[in-house]
Amino acid sequence: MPSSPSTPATRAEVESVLRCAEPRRVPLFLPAIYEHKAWFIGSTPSAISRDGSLLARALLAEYEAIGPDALAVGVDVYNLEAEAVGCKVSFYEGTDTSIPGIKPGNHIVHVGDDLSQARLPNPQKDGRMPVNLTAARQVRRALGDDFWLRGAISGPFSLAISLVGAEALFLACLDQPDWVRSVLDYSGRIIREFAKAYIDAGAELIVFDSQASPELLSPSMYEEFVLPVTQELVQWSATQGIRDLPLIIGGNTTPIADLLAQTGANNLLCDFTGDFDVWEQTCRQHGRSFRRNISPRLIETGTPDAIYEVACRELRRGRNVPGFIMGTAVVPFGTPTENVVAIKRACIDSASW
Amino acid sequence: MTDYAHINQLLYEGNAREVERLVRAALEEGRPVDEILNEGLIAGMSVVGEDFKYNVLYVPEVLVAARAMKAGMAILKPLLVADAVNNPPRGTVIMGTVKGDLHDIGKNLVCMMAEGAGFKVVDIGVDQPVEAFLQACREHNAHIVGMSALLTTTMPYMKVVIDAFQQQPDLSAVKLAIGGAPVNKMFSDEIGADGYGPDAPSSVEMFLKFVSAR
Ligand code: B1M
Repeated sequence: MPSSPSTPATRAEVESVLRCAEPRRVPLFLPAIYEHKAWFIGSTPSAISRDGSLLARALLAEYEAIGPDALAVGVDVYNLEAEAVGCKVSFYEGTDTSIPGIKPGNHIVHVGDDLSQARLPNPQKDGRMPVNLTAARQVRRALGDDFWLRGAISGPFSLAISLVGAEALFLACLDQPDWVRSVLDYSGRIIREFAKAYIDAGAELIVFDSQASPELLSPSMYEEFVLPVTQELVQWSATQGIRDLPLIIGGNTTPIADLLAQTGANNLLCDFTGDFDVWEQTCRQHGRSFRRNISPRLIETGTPDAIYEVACRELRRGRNVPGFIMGTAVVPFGTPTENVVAIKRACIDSASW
Repeated sequence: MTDYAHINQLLYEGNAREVERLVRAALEEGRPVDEILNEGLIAGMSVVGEDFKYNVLYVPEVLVAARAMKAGMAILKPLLVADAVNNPPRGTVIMGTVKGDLHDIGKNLVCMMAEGAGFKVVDIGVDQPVEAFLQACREHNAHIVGMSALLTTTMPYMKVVIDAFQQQPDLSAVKLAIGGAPVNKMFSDEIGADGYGPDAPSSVEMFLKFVSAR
């Protein structure tokens, strides 16, 4: 089994796929690796998430081991913005490989708070934003300008959950919709500060908003609360020179596929539980590229051959679909490298079909 | 005249104030506490559970209904406690998310629906080590221990908890149940759990089976 991955896509090739123009002979491969980055350097998620140089080393090790067509700077991707304005993140020490997070009760915004003057972060010094910015700069320097490097930012709804707490925010969606709009507006302002700093550090962006998934929120609530603020974020990003923006919502998002396409983000996610056919149709109609995932459990525990087979199946379905991208669900910490490389190998082999 | 269907509907809509008012009115009318609980609140919450299972309702609507249920329960609880001989809780359930895992939305829904079905629920929170499950189980003399995990990397910890329980002779009668999106029946059998709940309503049905088999 060849284990040396092919040359990563150039920026022009990436753009071409994301904008549904020329397909790439070897389909783009964008694995979702966050906490698992630590594994490549024998470290832990908590350690790499608090040290910019260590995080950069982990990113470069991921690049070497897997050969992805893009990297995402970020480990515990939903915590950075909330932490920078005061939420406490719990870390794990020593060899504990658990993933840092905000525990219930450590949220700082209360339903009804006036947020018009609420604090915005200074990304150069607040929380761990400087860690990610350092890593972004170092990786950019190491890999040059032609590589698609993205800084992870939260989507407005997910950040609002980190700030307020899930249950309080969900109840407020029904009890105090205007206030929810104000917290989403505040979230948007925080996110833009972080996004600007990433762009200055030489990275592009990738938005994570899994808390707005239909597993939690109804499509009509997505449309009412999340769509407008996401459209705003996408439009604002374009004014900052970011024309290609991935919007990542895990889980089965088929019921909101059309709404996601309406956000304007041009790279969407069809998780392994999503309906491929509906997604294909929606993305063709709106001219959006989409990433198809493979189950994290399979990637973690399957054999490379079994994973290769599933990847080939997905690649066959996607081969004539404009903007099709091969991906993975969030790769669990400790997944054997050969399991992820099996998917890359399937991408390379599919070029000769 | 108490109209339980109306209370069910108000609970479904999450109208806490009206549920509370009608529960009081039912008591004033002399309806038995357990009847109000079962026909007014538990029956209403079970419709909510079913509709959630089939994506008619989403998490926010379930939370708002659970809040209405709690408002009604707050009035009944002191009476139920005072009359514990005739209205014992259906059983005691310890619920927690296992070590390393901070997801609690699903677990909390299971807690709410189990309470809604008449169980005493002790929620030990997220990121809980095996010792916390053992201690809570002993302290509350629980019949069921429910574990939640949402990450494939934290699922194996459920086995750590199950193995530990199996080594405690005094806890051999406790039923061990698991749930969470990445968990399935096969995994549950593999690690020796007594049961697996794919969603909150099915979990409550499983708990009921556990206690009725006692
Ligand atoms: C008997 O006992 C029982 C019985 C039944 C039980 C039970 C126990 N527990 C649950 N059930 C059952 O009944 C419930 C009600 O019907 C059901 O509960 P569920 O929990 O399944 O369903 C809930 C009602 C709704 N579902 C949920 O609440 C989960 C939703 C998603 C979006 C999700 C959320 C919300 C969050 N997250 Co997380 N998160 C995702 C999820 C993706 C998705 N779209 O599903 C998932 C689970 N997360 C994931 C990840 C990777 C992560 N998350 C993380 C963090 C978070 C938040 C904190 C931001 C937030 C949780 C907030 C909270 N208070 O819970 C991180 C981990 C932090 C940690 N240490 O735990 C982080 C690692 C991200 C990061 N890099 O930082 C993914 C896991 C992938 C994997 N490989 O395992 C994930 C699938 C997203 C994705 N598509 O990639 C049943 O399963």
